[in-house]
Amino acid sequence: MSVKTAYKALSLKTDPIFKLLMIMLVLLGWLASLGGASIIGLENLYKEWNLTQKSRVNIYLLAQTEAKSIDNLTQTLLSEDYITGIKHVKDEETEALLSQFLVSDYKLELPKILELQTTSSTDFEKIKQIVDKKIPTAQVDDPSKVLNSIANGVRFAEGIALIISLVIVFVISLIVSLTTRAGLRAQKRQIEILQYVGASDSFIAVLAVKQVLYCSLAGFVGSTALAALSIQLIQTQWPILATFILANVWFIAVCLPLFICLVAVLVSMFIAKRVIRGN
Amino acid sequence: MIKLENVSFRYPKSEQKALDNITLELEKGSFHFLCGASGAGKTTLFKMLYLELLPTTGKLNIINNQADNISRKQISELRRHMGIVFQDFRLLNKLTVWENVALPLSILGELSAQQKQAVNDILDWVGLKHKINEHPNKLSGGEKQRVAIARAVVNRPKLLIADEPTGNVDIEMGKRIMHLLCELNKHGTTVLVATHDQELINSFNYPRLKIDDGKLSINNV
Repeated sequence: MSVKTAYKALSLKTDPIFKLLMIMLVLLGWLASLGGASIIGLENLYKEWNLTQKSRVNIYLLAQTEAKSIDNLTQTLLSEDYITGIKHVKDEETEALLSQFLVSDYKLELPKILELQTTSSTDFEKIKQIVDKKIPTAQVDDPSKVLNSIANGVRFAEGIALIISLVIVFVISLIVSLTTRAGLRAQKRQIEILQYVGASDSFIAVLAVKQVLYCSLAGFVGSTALAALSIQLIQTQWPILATFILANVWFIAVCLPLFICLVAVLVSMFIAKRVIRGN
Repeated sequence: MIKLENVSFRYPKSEQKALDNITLELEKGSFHFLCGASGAGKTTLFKMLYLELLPTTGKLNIINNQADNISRKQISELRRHMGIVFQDFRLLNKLTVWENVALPLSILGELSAQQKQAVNDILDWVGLKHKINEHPNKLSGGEKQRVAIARAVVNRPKLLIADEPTGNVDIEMGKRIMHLLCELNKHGTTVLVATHDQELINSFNYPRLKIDDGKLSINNV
């Protein structure tokens, strides 16, 4: 028998509003965890895609372009440091690429495609200059505009996710603050008795905060478990996405509910002191 | 132990003083009865003694602590040296009888074997050893009163303030409770008992404080 007696005296967990707090912590924690994990997964996907796009430049040549001119262009391009290799795309591959746009019995002279493997320091302008000089009729596929618009899209999605996260943190703070306040006000008499027998404000606040801590830890476990199950389910249902579910995705999936747990404890600490002082 | 100098108290929004210019000094180890009609100011004076209320004017000193600039932390520390028996018991129904009595000790940390024994002894003394695992809502008024007294005295307080401690018990138990309070007093506890029971007051030779319309008079026996 010890502080447990005092803890039992100020038992908030039996209060239905505290059960609601636990449910809300699980659900919002789960939502935040999945949201955070999705954003990190999206970032992984984007980085992978961006890397692929940045390291490949296509040059489209007319069908009648002479082989000699193509060899000349290839040699000139290979002298650039950031070009690591040039692949001459086979006619079958080109045909396969264009087949969806062509009528089946239509015979078209296929354009020639050069696929450049580049490093991250690719200079598109320089490539364009070389190509314009060597074969003016050729077209360089410059992905920078697409890359920029996709990057903007990804940043926008991340920004939205950040705002949602802040809203979740605010909602959690509000719920915890209202729950702790309501829970403690309902225990006004118990608090008074504890005060009469000599319990200090901080002692009583610790009793209340401990209960919020246990409640939010249970919420953390629940929301993390739900998030882990959801991610596992996504991996099973869409194996292609598994490539992007790296350690950082799991890290965020665990960290966000833990952060919510921390917010809950801090808010309850602040509210408990205020309510007890006002008692 | 208790010193009031020209203490007055007025509740907010009230024009009348609940306590009017009270000067009183209770020596360490003294025993006093406090009597007065309902609404005379007994409860206000009691609340002031356990520092739930602070004087509007005047000086109040409790167990060498001046109430003027006392902090909330100091008040809680001071209350650890006080035993308070309320007329309405103020027991916690969530706790058992044993836990209610042990509450003042349990807020200080883990209970030692000696403290546990003290809880058992006091419950034995008030005749409730057989009900240690009961909850207060299952007890009669007299039993609740005894639990409240046991809780107030379990930590051997320097000051015991009891509001009608024998109000809900039979004559025999009333005498036992009074003897317990006397016993505590002999061990150095300053005791102040509020009661309406004139017979009880007359059966002990202790000074009487009478409060009437917020004014206090002392009647030494």
